Amino acid sequence: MDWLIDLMNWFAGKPADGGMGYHALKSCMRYDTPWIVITVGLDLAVAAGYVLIARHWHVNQKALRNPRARRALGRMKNIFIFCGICGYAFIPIKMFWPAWRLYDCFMAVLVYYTWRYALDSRNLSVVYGELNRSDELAADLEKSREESRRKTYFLNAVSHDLRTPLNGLSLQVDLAALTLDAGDATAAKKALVEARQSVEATARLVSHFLEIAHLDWDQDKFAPTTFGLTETVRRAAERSADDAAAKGLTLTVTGDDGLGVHTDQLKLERIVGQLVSNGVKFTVRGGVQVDVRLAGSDLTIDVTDTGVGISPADQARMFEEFFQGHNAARDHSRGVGLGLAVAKRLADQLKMELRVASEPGKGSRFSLVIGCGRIVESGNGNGIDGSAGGDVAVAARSAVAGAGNHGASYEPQGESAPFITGRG
Amino acid sequence: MSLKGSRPRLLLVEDDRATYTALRGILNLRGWDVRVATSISDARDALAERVDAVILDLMLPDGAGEGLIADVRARFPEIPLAITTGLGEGERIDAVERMGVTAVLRKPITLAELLKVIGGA
Repeated sequence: MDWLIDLMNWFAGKPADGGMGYHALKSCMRYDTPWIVITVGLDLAVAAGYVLIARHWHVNQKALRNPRARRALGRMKNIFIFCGICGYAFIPIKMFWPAWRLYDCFMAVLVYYTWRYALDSRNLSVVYGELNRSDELAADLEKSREESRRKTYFLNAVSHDLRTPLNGLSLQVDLAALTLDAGDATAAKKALVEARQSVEATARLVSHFLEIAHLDWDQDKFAPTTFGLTETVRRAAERSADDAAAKGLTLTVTGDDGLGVHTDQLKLERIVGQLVSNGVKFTVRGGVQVDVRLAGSDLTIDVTDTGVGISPADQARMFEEFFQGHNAARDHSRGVGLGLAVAKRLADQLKMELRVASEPGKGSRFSLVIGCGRIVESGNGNGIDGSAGGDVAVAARSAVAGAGNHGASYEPQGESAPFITGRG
Repeated sequence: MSLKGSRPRLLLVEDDRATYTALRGILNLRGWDVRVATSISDARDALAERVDAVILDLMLPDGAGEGLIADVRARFPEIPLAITTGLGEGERIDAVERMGVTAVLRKPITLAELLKVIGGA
């Protein structure tokens, strides 16, 4: 059993020649070089393994989106950093600890497991990836549930709002027949006029539904071009000129003719058209004013009316489909509550902001905020129709002309004279 | 149902103009004295007087028509109460049918079924 005693003595650092005392690492440095290399190598290997694991935790922690998992990984990372530091700290301890060879046996095992874990832990990124994916799936599921709820609501509203004018139509036809039987041609004619209005309301409703559905199908289609903004706004506003004139309302557009933007022209025109048409529909006295202006660094189109206004509670629901804040009697000749919903959806598609500010009884202002990144020109160049030279006279179908200003500088108010005015 | 010699009174609670003008015309021809209410609050005012039948739309600008059913039944337990609605089948309609109404008519309603519910006058 001498060999065992020798071996234990050797581990304990007792000199091989049987001399007295135990040898700490610092005493062996001159004559036991291979062991010194091994012992330092083991320490460094363990520490490097921990550093590798800590790095792995750190990288995955940054990529994880689940906050609880991030926190847990962050703590694990700190533990491994601590272990790595301890690995280096043992080098000086061994200098004075005679049983350092025994400790090295333990270190060899530790190196094996540390590195195996460090290499294996790379595969854990699959788990973290799945964790991220399950979070994404949960968010997608919630989104699609919300979409499903919205569609159910939409379908119910479609069903209800289609049945309502059809009901009116059917009953008005019954009334016409009954009054004709009774020999009252005037009452019959009145009923038929009502019936025709119900038909028109139904047709308008179907068009709106198709438009909304079309927006859903076409939401990725985006055809940006560079065009003159004020000219487009003017053209959109012009479509409501007849309605404004019929109601005796003014319809005014102000803006710089030389201002160009880069976006989907047709969609922008539809948004402005809807806002102006909405303003005209709900204004009894006064008029609707459209201003194209630079507000800070943003280009803004304001559509301001002197109409009935919108209560703060209604403002929150203004852009929901079928919401009719102004039309409590649900008179379908005044629309079905889809115009502003369409405008909002189009604005969302163009990544523009549609705001509303209003005071009941005084009027409303709808502002379409176009990001400054879309402003491409402030002059007459680049193919934008700046209508160079002098005052411009642009007549609306219903009337008077005015002047627009040009050039590189933009004057939001004052100098830009109105150039569409409709009076009935 | 009504006092002898006077026309029976019908309360029509409906917010769609084309519908209420048509129903008012038809029911007038059929001998009813029709009072139109376009909101729940109007209808509550109208219920202060005697009515012999009620036609009630479920979706009104100031709320749901269900709230009015109990008011009508509390005051006039026996009169015909017809509910008209553009809503399809569903829990809401089932609940209304259990509230003591005479019938639930889905829009577009036919004159024959309406007259059958409120009774000829």
